Amino acid sequence: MQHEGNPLPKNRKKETERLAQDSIIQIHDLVYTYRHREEEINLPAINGISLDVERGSFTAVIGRNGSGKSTLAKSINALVLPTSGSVIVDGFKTDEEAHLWDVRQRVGMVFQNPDNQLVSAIVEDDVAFGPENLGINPDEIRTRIRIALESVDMYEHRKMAPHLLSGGQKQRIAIAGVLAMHPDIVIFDEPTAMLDPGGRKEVLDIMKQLHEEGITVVLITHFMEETIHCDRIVILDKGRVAIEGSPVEIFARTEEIEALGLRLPFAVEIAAGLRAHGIHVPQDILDTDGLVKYIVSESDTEMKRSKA
Amino acid sequence: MIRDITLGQYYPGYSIMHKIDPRLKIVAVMLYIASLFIVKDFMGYVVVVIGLATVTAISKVPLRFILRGLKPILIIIIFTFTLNMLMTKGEILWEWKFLHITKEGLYNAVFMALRLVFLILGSSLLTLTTKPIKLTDGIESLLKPLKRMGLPTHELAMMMTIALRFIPTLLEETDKIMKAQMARGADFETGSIFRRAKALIPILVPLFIGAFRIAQDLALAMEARCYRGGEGRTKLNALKLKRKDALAMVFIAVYLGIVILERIFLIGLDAKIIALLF
Amino acid sequence: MSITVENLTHIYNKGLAYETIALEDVSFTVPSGEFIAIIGHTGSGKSTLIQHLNGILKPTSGEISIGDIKITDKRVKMVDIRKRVGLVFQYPEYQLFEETVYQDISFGPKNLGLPTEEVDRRIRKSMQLVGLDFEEFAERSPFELSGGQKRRVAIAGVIAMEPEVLILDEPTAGLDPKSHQDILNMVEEVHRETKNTIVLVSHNMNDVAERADRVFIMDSGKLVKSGRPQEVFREREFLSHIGLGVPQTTEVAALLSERGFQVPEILLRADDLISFLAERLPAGGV
Repeated sequence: MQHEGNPLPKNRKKETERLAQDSIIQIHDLVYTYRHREEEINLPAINGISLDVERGSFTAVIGRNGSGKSTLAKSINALVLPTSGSVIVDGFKTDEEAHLWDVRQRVGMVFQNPDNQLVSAIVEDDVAFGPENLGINPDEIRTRIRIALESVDMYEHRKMAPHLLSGGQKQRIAIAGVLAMHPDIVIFDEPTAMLDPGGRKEVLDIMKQLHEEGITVVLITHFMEETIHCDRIVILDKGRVAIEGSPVEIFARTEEIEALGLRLPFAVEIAAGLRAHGIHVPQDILDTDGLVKYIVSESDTEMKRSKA
Repeated sequence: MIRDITLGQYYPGYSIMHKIDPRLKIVAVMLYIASLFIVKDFMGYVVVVIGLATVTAISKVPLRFILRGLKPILIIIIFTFTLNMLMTKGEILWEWKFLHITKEGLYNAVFMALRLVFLILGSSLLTLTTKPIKLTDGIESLLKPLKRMGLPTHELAMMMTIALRFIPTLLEETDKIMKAQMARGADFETGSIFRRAKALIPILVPLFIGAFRIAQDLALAMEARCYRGGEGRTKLNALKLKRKDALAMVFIAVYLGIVILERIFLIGLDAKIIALLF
Repeated sequence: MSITVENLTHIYNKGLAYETIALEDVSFTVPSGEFIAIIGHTGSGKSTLIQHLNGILKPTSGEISIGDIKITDKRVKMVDIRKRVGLVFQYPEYQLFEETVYQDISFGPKNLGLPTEEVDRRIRKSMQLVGLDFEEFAERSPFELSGGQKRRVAIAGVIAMEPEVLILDEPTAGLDPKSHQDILNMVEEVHRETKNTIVLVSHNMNDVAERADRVFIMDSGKLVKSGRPQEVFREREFLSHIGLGVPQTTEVAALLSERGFQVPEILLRADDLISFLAERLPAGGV
């Protein structure tokens, strides 16, 4: 993070302890099972996931409800500890009690329900909640509140009560609350599921902006449309990684994606439909702009050809 | 519907009253209530009225807003008044069967009713000029000495903060559930008390489930934001006494002084004046 | 059953300093058996409007008739309105409260005062309509079901009242794409089978474009536009001016036309766009 005046104490641990410099999150053979209360059986939510996330990258984790994606998100923040396997965040194992707060300070989380994650009845007090927990002095907190609220464009609302704000605005406050803790990673756990199209766009734009500022972003979602601009997509199914790769690689596998109960981005769906008609649309067309450009240029060449 | 209920009747403003340290205001209200019990005659009430009027003027809260606070306890005031009027022995002014009104009874009734009115007016000035969240901060700070005795002051304050945050959310939730069940033909307004109580089940069950869902989500979100109790925690808005707070202290001291002096030197004067008039 | 709304106005907190006009002079008619969609962003008045249609909110002024009953008349009994108009709120699963799916669905029909056998028949029928197997689900607790299933139970609870007008407020909010599609298909299925009037509130233009006979656009408490989807979605600039989009198919067609690749008609379905383009693009490509 490049917020001025607050360099992060990066040198807290010996370099030798760091496993790999470039993978900020390392997940090895992660299994997590929870006990079903009535039926007395152990149900696996995560069933053997191995995954590395590069520092500064933008990764999307997609899957239907019950695919284990939320549990995966929580295990990166040590809200859920591995039944077996391990999760290492910036060199710290999440199940080592001594480093719990190191992990949580580094990994910020934004949840689905905009209402249920704000603690205080005043916006700026809510943003202060995280830094207060970290024991930061009040003057420094004030600076952090200003920077965090400005970066989500909510500074003028700092004295308001959250329940008077729109869903998108509440979600932006939640993001500011996380940013004020100076995290290296921000995990968004279905942040747009309860928002209207306007609110959805607000949150997606901020996500992109954070990524550009160098924060590692992990987006958990079931909307394919939101993942077009990611570096990498991981599709989960029944607690395992079903497919992973870059958006271009992933969206080429249309049938597998539909079989997993997910819906392709619109432009990809049209491109796939055209391919079925024998038109060789390039695989890297993922959004509406790309699709339009392609069709226009294609029909231009066709026109020239028929004239010649 | 239920959303129309305004909770914690804070009147937004920028007066000095609004800015005074909440701890000081809480203590001042407690002293003010004590002063109402020091006063024993109407002469003392003159002092109270002057004090109350001054503070109300400074607060810039419209009088009708403050008087609105009396509405819910009007019945209690009338009850107190009637009881005092009928139950006091003394010089009889009016009599009917077992009921009698005495001169002393009338005096007591007016006196006690006024005491209640002043009590409500004074303490509602506290909530009218103090944001609930500041009130919470004030209470937490005042309770701090009790922490050594094992009272979980931080936890109590955190609970109050969260309650303030989620009261509007829960009211909204209740409103939604009520409407949804009404759309399914639920009837909350007719039938015997037993029937009506039973009709609440379709509201209460979803409401409790909703409250637990909120609690679960919120606990998770708080943990994710490194919450680990009051230990090692800083506070953004640490309370600090300022110059205007010192002025307020002087004011309350002067007020108390006059009330006490009146009690010592002028007691009974009002009775003489009343006797002279009638 | 038809819906007639005449000059409906609703003002919250009338007379107070913070009074807000939620609905202003809204008038429209929906003929019996039509599928209409109401679109508008948060705060446009669409929720307030639908709450008037089944008498939960009373208008400040104006009149509403459902079929031949004027529901804004003070003498009309609530139960007569409920029999005709069913309203499914947003996140309806949050209203479930009974121990079993069967009991929960029975709540509405019982409140209508129907005999036990009739209640039973309706529960079975509505469960079948929403796609819940009776044997499998009737005796289960609604709270142990998945999100999509819970929502089906809640919708069945309203359908079991056999309303001739069924209003659904964002019935797919918060669901994953598969359940989203399933619920919409289910609504269509109910519409086909019972021939009832459907009012669907949504902010997903794609869902609306493919299903609704007519689209109503709300903005700041007013009904600003209504018509067949083809007509309404032609007004791309107007819609974007009030903060709404058009279906993605329409969007692509409009962008193509702007760039000189003329798409003459308003296309609403992805399939229509694909076959239109397939005819005009060279097979084989570059």
